[in-house]
Amino acid sequence: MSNDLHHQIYDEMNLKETDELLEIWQNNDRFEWSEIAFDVINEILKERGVDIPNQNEPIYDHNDEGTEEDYKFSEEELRIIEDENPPAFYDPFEVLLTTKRIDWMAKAMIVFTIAYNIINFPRLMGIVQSYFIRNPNSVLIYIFTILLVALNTGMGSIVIYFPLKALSRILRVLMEMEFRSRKAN
Amino acid sequence: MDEDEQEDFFSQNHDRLISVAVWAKYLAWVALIIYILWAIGIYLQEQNYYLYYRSGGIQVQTYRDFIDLLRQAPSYAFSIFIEIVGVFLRGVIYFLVLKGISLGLNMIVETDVNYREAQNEQ
Repeated sequence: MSNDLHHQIYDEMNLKETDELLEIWQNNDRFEWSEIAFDVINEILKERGVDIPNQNEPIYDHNDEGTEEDYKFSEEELRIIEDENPPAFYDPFEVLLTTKRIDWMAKAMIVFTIAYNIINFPRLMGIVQSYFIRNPNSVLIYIFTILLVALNTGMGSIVIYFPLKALSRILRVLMEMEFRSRKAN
Repeated sequence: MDEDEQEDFFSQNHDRLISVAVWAKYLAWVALIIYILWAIGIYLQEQNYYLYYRSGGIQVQTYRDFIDLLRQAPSYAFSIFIEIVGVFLRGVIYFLVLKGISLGLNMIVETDVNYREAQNEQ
């Protein structure tokens, strides 16, 4: 076991509350946590003077949760998830899952923005009508309202869609950078 | 590697970054729960408005209850639905952004530690 890795995991685990450490210890989820993590938790609990309880049966796989195959990850992404030298501070599977959810959310927000603006059509029409008091039945009212709704929908979608997409891409790039830095060792 | 070298290797800045990441991770859940409660609150608020107007003898008395009002006035029901979904989606966005920030910071620390480790080995 590398001292550095042990030290890194120790620092990360030491930030957690005792209850949380006990929960991880008892759940004995070997799919989520490495052997070193359990050694470190044991060490920290002893240092904190906690009685160390028995562990549950070890969990080696999460059948109730979606596996890598369920999310249609690319070969490159699967290579990062299944790497023999996993990262200590984060779970690549969680990163990819989060990026997929962010991508999905970005699309969902466009649909929501369209629906929201359609609902608000009468209110916007009222605003436009207030500028056409002398001619309240003008076709221009409809034209301007439609233009306003389109503009509002477009801007609203762009303002939400692009930052979310950017965050998703940044997370993927950071993970690839981290993966390459592992290979540099 | 002695203790001092280890301290250099995993600096205070790393600790701070990890702390921020941990905070972001937990705040993500807090934000999500707050927005879910807010979404529920919107529904309850509309229901309370209905009861308030009803007790005042205003036209809503033609409806048996609030659910009946929603059934008979689909556009009103849809506007409430959109409002609730909007608040919920905002909560989900904050949740994902905070979770993304947490994961991003952890990845930055991991990358830096990996490079330092590689440099150390050289």
